[in-house]
Amino acid sequence: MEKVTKKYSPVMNFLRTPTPTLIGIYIVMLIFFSLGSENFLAIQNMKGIFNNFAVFGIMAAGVAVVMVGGGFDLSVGSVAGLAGIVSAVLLMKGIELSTPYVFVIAMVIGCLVGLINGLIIVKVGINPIITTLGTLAIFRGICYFWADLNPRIYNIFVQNFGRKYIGGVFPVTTVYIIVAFTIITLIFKFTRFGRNLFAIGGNENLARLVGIPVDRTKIISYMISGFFAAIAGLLLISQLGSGRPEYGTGAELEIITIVVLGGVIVGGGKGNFLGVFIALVIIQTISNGLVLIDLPVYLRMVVKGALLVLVIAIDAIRSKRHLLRY
Amino acid sequence: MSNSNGIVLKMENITKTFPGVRALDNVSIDLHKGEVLGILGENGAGKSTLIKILAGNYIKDSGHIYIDGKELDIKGPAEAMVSGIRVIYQELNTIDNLTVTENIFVGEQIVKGPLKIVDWKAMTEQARALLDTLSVKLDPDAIVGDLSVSQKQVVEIAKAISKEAKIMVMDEPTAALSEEEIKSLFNIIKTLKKRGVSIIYISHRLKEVFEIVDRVIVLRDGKKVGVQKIQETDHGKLVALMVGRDIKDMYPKKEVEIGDMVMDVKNLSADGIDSISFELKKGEILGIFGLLGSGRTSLVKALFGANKIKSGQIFINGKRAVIKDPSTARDKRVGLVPLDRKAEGLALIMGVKENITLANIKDLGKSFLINRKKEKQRAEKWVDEVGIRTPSVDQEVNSLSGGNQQKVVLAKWLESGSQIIILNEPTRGIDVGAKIEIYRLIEDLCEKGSSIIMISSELPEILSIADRIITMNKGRFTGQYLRKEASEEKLLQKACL
Repeated sequence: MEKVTKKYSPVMNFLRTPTPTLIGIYIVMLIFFSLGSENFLAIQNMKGIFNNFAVFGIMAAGVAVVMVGGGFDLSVGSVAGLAGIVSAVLLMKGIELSTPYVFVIAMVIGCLVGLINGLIIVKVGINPIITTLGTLAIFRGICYFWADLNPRIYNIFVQNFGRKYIGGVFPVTTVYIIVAFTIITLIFKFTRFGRNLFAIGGNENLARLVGIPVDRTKIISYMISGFFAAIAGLLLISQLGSGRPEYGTGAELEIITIVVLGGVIVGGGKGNFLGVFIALVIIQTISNGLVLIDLPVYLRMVVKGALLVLVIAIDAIRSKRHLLRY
Repeated sequence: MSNSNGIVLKMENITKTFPGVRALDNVSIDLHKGEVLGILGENGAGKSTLIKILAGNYIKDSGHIYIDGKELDIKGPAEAMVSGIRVIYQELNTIDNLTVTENIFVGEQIVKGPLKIVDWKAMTEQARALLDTLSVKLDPDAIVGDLSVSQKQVVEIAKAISKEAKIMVMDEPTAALSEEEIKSLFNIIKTLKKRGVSIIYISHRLKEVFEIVDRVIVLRDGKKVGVQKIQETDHGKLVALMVGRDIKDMYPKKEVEIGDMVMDVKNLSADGIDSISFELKKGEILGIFGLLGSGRTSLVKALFGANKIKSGQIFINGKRAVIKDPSTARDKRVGLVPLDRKAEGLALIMGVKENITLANIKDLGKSFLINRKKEKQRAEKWVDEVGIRTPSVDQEVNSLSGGNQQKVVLAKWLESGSQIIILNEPTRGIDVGAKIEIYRLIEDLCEKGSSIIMISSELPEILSIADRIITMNKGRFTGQYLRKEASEEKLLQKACL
């Protein structure tokens, strides 16, 4: 049987991800929003969107790392909450630990939590969805130990950390996102770790058979995700001015939506960070637009959920057609 | 169309095209009542496509299907089932944690009373009756997971005839069976024939075809190239039809000078294998022949560090090699081309380049960084040397043909500098042309000083390519032959010891 192989091109590869569908829908919604609300395109609103980007974007970057390796991390919202409230407590009047220590502790918490997730998943062999569903509840529960303290943030550095505008216009959070995504893109394209992670997501059996340190790589991926979630937690307390136990609740759904819409396939082995970044921008502006056109909360959820299913459905139909070619 | 001449099934001018591939080209077959019709053909000849059209898994592009003289438009598996078409696939579809009875009646439980309560007693009795008609001794209450492959197959056959079966298709039914089990399968086929069931028997093992089949159809490259009554044909004629070329071209054998010992395995015991000893020399192709379950894959896994070694020693180039995991095997310059290419040999959704460099990333840059330029050059070099047909090294492996995929797996081990390459069924699911290329490649490797351990259950292949052949059964070596001493009969006999 003669096989006709299609000529490879990076453009074709990109077109095969869900991103083009997403962009198409986005353009339609943009028009809709700017007609529906005159505030939508206002500078002030755009700045707000950017600040939101950072929290979700940084968490999404971490979750994307895990998912490329075939894993899953539902616990990020809780980890952000935990790192946030612990930092806020440590910054409280009476404790006032110096800022660098607080940052380091928050990051250590993130890595530690990721290590716990990773060890349970890899060494005990429990499904990552179940494991992180469990740790999601555990970490969120722990947050409530400090619920009564209601720590406010007075530390100027922490206040500025997530809110400052460089030159008064350019939100500093944008820098964090760009840094996070750049670092991760580099890791994935140029490091052994990244390549090994793709191989594990692509075919774990194979990865073991060619001598890739599968367990270690997976654990590190969960630690990266925990680390990024902790940073997001610091951003949350900075932007909201206090530490509350419920910060980050429900973030996992939005984040997984972003990662999946960004073209990282569930099961791993495929994904690019440009796609995730575009999905981040789109989902966040849509969320924002839905608020501005005064859509009730429950309808906003309906729209976002429908968007996820719609884009992935279109993608599934397209890839089915694509597969039929072989 | 009339029913008078006893034609149960007629498939007329069936054509099926997948983009880029014409899988079936105007193929017509007819099947008589109580007949065993063999369909022969190399991998990729179109056998499976034809069967999948009959079973309703694929929709034909054009052509007609008549059952008992009536045209039937098969749009899905349900229509095929209702018309009495049953398929026993090579990969069995039993549910392992259910009993034999439950498997036979899955989805079709016998119920009683207004509440439709499952009638276990009736089901067990009927299951026993079905197994009796097949003259097999099998406990209806046994858990299917505990059964052997051949017993599972019997369960599937019983399931197939539990509802009225007119046409039974068996796709490579003996691939995993021992001599004895094949005999009992043939008895079942004869029983079915007597009951008026027509059977389509797909195989590439010619010996069996001569034993059980009444008439044979040969497919090649999607076309029907011959129909012959079994009494009027012979082995050579059928091979020539299947392959479309002379058998000597099929298995090119280059004589390579065999050098010193590179691997010495002493009394190796591990899960599924028992005190295995052998030597491997430089430039040699050592063939290991065994049926499914003989321990051949366990041996491969133990040699490669994927299964734990219980006792025994491995020496590589005279030095003791403790292979505790695949990464030490790789560092000792041992490579493995696994049995299931898609499950263990390749990351299908990744590119050719990434797949080739997978085992050797450490060598692509001094620190933790990868030198992407070097990576690309290396991958391109192997694509060129091994002859992988791909538009670029960035092409997804998924879209390559089986033969080219296998070359990617081989290239991966060449890239990591393997000197001893273990091949487990290297030409499984690969079309003829690519097979020849793989054989050439293996021989080139030997010429350059590599050594090969080739596990194969294809007799003609192992008899033509291997320098020395060891037979295996129940986890032990049962015989050893040089190529010129070996024969199909000897190997089969020893493999069933």
